[in-house]
Amino acid sequence: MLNYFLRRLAAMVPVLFLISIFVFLFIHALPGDPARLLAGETATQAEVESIRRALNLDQPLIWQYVDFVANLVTLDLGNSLRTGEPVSQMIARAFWPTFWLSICALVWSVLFGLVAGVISAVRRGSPGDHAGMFLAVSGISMPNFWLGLLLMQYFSVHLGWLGTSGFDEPSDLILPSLTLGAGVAAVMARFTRSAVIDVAREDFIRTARAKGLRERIVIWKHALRNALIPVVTMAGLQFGFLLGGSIVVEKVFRWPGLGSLLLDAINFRDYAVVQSEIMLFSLQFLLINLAVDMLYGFINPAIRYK
Amino acid sequence: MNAEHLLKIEDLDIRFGKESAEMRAVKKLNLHVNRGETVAIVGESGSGKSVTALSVMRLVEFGGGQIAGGKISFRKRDDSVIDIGSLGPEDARLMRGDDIAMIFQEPMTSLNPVFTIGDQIVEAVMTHQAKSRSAARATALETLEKVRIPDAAQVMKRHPHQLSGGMRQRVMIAMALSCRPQLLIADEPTTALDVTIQAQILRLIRELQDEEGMAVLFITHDMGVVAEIADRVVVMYRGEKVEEGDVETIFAAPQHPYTKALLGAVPCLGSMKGTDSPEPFVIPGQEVAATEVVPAEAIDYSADPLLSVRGLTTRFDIGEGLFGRVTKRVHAVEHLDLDIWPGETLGLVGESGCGKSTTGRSILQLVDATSDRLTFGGEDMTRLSASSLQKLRRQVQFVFQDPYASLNPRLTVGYSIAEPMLLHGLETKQNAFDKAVWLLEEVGLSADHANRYPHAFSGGQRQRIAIARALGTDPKLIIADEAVSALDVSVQAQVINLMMDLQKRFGLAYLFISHDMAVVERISHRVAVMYLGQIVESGPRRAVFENAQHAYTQRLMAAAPVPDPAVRRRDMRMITGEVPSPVRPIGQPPVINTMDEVAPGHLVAREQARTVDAA
Repeated sequence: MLNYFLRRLAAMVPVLFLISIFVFLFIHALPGDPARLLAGETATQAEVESIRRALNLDQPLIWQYVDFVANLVTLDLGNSLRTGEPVSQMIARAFWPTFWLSICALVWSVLFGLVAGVISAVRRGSPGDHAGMFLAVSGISMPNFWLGLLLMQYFSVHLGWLGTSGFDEPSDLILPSLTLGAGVAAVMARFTRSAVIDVAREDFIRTARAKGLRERIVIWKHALRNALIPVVTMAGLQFGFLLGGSIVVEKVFRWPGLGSLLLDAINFRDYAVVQSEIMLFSLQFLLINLAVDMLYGFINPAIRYK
Repeated sequence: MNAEHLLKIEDLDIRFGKESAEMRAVKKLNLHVNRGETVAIVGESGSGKSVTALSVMRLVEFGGGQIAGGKISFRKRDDSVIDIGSLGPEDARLMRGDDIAMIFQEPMTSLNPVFTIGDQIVEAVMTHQAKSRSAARATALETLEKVRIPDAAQVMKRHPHQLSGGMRQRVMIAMALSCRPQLLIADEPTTALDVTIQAQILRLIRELQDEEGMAVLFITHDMGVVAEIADRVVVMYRGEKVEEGDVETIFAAPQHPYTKALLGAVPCLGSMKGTDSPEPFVIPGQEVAATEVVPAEAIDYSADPLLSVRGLTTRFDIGEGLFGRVTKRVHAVEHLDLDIWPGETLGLVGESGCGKSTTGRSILQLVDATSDRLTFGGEDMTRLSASSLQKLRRQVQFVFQDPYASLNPRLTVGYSIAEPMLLHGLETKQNAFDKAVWLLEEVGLSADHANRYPHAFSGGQRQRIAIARALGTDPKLIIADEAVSALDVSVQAQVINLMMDLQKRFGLAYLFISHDMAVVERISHRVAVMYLGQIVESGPRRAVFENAQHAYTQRLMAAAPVPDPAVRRRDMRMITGEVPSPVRPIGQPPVINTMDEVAPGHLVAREQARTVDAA
């Protein structure tokens, strides 16, 4: 098990290396010149060139890439092209709001999705099942910004219970995490439902009933535990996306997170920030995938890692 | 209800589906089980036998069925009689596992893979008895020991995947017995097991029944098992009881034509005594006039064999350690020698895991295998180039065990049969389809079946289709890997007869891979017995079956159930052993058997102390 874990960690290095190449190339392929943007519209060509030199943007691409990787390895992410602030500081500042938002969204949506999915599976074909799945499809289809605005309109403006924007106190988490989690909850509900329906056909469920177990235990213990594998896989993927910061939701709620940071950085062609953020997202994804794979082993002991 | 009756089923009707598409699975069934008695319900798939069992457990409604009429009465421990059909869901649940317990066919999938054995039994105990967890654990341990599980305390902590099929079925039995039910329903409990393990389990059920004074309702399609275990027999056919009686009477003087047909189709070990060549089954209603029987041509063993393999070896590495370093190896097939002559059937028998299926695949290089020498039709094919492999694969075709999984559900049957001919570039598209239609008729189906899809066919028909597909490329050898094992006996008999008929007409040779000694006896000219990747005995069928030399062959023969209640093996040695594993650490290859020729063509492996575990 530990062997497996270490091997998987080691295997991440070449993956991250490949990602770094792609990220670098894609960003430099973006149209727009950061030196010109930074210098301002009225700047002379000479001023632009001096800024370009100061930012090392006049170097050949390959050297810029070497710099980028060298910085990554030493965990020095460089300075923002726009503000000159160390990128690591900017990311550290934006990371926690996004992290807490993601956790809140994930926790409620997974719990809700699991319960709704199992209930739908057990009452398959009933009006409740149809209603639940209709809600789920609505949840997947409803645009985030619209749901966010509706919630804000009602709870913040109409009732005045909650703030409309920013992250100053824990209660500010409620509306954005509800908005962000709605889609995830719907996906989880659908996944759980189909996984539980599949497992319910298994022979060992019949055995559990033949033992005289309560139906509650048959479903919530015997069936659900076996249905968790696809559900956990999906939850992991969703968590990966959430941690990347939702640009739309963060924009709607003026959330000081990674999504907002990324949007600003892209607008200003702030290469250092964009590159670092994308590398961070990749690393998060890899780590979550690994965590999910390790979880499989705990959920189902028949899955063993060597 | 008579005081002796424990279970009495009267006019039971079970239906599936809604009114528009209703299916009557069981019609007006009457039967009873006395205290301490074993009643076997026999029938083929779809006869309603399992559905009957599930309705006694009130499990049938979870599968979409319902008790539409009749009465199921059961006498509880306190002598009160309950009507199972009219119990509320909660009372039915309390009855399940406590008064009546059930074990199922598939031990591999009937235990929950994510919980330990101990937890699963403890759960059953705690559901029905007011016991603390530690008391329940003690009960669980005690029951596991009762079903003769060695090292029960360790097994409690294991998960199902760490146990063999036989062990899992013991665990299932232990779970069923943990609350000391008065009636045990066993639904095909040994069908998925090897014969030696089957013999152990049957014997165990019998012994436990004596110890506990429990009644058993035994559901099976296997007349050999019926003869072994039942006091009384109920024969079901298409949802109805067609015959009932003492086991002796049923076997000695069956009345109903269906019972007679069923008994006639049962392959019986020893039925070929004194004969040299294979013989088709006699199927009542399909008797062939004696004049029509063409004796098969004798095989010319002085000629060169069709297929000759020397030193066939297949090993699978098991990687462990930090960088997938190989530390263990499965010696699936180890230095195997094999000859098959044109037009003959070589039966390859052995238990699961002995490497018999891998042998078939190795010959066609469907798995990575090596051999010292491989000739086919006189041609040396040892170092197979891509083109000669292609040629070999055209002349050797496969028929697999599962007729449901081996046909693509999205292709018409005609296309499935034509495809190999097209792949090998043998026929034009039109010719291939014409030939496919002709082949369908050759295997006993009709031409208009070609445009249908596999789901429209029964298991037996699908296996005929698979055979037709194999014949498309005009093969000389067909490897039939457990080709009839998944079929009902009467269908099995028909398919075997078909295979023999095709052998005569097309001059086919078969490598007939099977675990079933009685079927192999019926169909084979020569037999090879396989154990742990090697052949331990081979030779003419008559010599091997009538004069088995190797201890393992003898054990296999002794374990095969005999469909005759008069020869119950009450005193058979109880083998508690498991089939040993062919997994060995690197650097410790198995000892290669030395074969002695005890009679012309009859080879027996010299027994090593380690070859067969002390039984």
